[in-house]
Amino acid sequence: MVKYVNLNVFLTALLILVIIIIAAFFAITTYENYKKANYEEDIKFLNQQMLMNDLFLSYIQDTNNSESKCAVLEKQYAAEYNINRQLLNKLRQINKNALVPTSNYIKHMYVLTNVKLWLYHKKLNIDCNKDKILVLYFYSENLTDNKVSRIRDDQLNSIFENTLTDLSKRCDKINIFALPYNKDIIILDQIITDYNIGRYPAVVVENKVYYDLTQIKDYNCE
Amino acid sequence: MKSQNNFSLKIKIFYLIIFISIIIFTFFIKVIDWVIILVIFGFLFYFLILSLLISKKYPTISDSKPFPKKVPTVAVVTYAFNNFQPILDTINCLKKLKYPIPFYVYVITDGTCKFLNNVPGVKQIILPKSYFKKDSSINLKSRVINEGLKHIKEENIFQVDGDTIPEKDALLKLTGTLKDNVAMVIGSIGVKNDNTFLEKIQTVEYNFGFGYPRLVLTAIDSLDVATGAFCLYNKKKILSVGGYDIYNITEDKEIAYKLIEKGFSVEFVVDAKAKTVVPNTIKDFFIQRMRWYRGGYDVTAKYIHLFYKKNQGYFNFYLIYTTLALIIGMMFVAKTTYDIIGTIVANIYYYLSNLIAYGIDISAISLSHISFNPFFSSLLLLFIISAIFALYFMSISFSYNNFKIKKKYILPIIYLIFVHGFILLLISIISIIYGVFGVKYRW
Repeated sequence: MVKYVNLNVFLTALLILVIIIIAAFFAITTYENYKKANYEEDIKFLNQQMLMNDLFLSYIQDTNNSESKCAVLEKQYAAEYNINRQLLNKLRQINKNALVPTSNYIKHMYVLTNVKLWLYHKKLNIDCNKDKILVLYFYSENLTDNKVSRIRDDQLNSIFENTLTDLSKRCDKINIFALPYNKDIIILDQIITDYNIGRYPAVVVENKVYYDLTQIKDYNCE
Repeated sequence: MKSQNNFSLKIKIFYLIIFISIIIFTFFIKVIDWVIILVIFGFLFYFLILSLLISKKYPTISDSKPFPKKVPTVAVVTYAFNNFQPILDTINCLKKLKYPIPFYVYVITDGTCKFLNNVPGVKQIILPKSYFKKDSSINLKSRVINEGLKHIKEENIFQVDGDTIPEKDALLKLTGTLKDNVAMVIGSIGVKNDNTFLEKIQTVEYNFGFGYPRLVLTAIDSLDVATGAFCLYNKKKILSVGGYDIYNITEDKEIAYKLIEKGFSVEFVVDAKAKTVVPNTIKDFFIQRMRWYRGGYDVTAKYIHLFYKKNQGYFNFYLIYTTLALIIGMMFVAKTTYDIIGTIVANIYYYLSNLIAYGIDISAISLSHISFNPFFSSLLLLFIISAIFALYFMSISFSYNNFKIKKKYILPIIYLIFVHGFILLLISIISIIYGVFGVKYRW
């Protein structure tokens, strides 16, 4: 019946395909791991910086010339704050596009690092007598498969973030720390309980919780 | 009558199974693991690799074969009705065909084409007008040709549509291949009218399709379309399988399946060329492709037993593979379309709701997070790899078919690689929906 093609041609095609699939599998996992490794590097760098903060803090307590030291510390914190903000955007991007889901390690490290950074800034306000307004922003971290609810939450996040960005542009004194509304992470659960935050997105400014955007929009930062 | 009803039921069930598969995949599968996507990609990619290997290993399979020592008699057959005068142009071309012995051009008509009465070399086969009466459930062309064949004595039939013009040596080049178990031979069809973008797309599509893809199918004895616009067949062999199916809208596909089932084959000859007129409006293009898809599914349903019938060579594999590939393709296209439209609608809805609830002005909100790419960014790499392979296969197919890539075809080629498949699969999905709900066929 079959006049022309040998079965070997079919098998050769299959072999080539298997090689391509295996190569593609390893290429994708390597690329995804490479992307994750980059974020892990960022977090490691940030932690290293924070170790330095501890040294600075100890040094401030033991020195009389706290004014110049505080200036250095403030600069240091500001740089870390910027790194962490960029990290949030990267983390969201990787969550959105990643084939291999982001490991909890990176997420937890980001959250813990950000909480630690917030605590440093609080301490800086007290130790160096600064009047920075520290804002905690709890965004929704929708991990469900329900696309519509994810879009709803993304839109809400987007509106809150735009409003907060406008606020930070308007008020030099404001530092915003973005955290997911995730009660599974113990420290976050503690903060959520302490501030009695009932839903998300929510913004905590000077111990007061805001759910209404118009109040945040009109916030007087003087 | 009973068997016709059973057949209709078989088709309905076939359509329904595909329809339900598409619905489940589109609306109920929320997340697909990337490894599964990779495997599906591999499955779809397999035939492209196989085609490349075959086209490299057997590049001359579809070249014209030496003309037989004993010259077979041939009848050149076309049809016309309702006083269709443009048929004269086709007839004039058909009369100029090269062939070692004299032949007649037979025109099957309804008796209204009086202008053909005194044309030398032309014989009219006049059938009752009822044969030409339009009926959405009957394939008029099949009915007319089947009846016309009864009036022809020649061994071979060279069948040409009224809007198709073959090259002078086309018949000569096809004849050598029509031997042994080959019942039908088709040539390479190009496009006569390639002025608009839609026509250029079809020009590129035809010149690709009538190149290596048909060589590959010939090589694995699975050429499943005996292109009715322009083909040469052995009358005895065609009549032995009962001629064309008058209830199928793609009679050229149906007859190919019927021939393959009975142990015959259909072959392709690349250097026997003709040009035809293609649809020049989106509406006509849509109707034509709908007909092709619905007819194709009807044929697959009718011959579904060939999935497992023994002694069919590679045809079982080809049939199962292409049917599955088409269904998977439709599932992904349906899901992607649903995801894109759903995402846009949901984003706009929540955007407007939030706008009303919070009074945030439009400029403050970014819709940049809308993902238009439901397949993940890393899989884009696979998409690019397959596009490169497709482009390569296309380019070698063009050169095999002697098609020169001019500047005016660059955009249609890009469209063909990145968009056309998606559009065709959408049309295919619509044809499934039409099939499920029993929408009448359109010609």
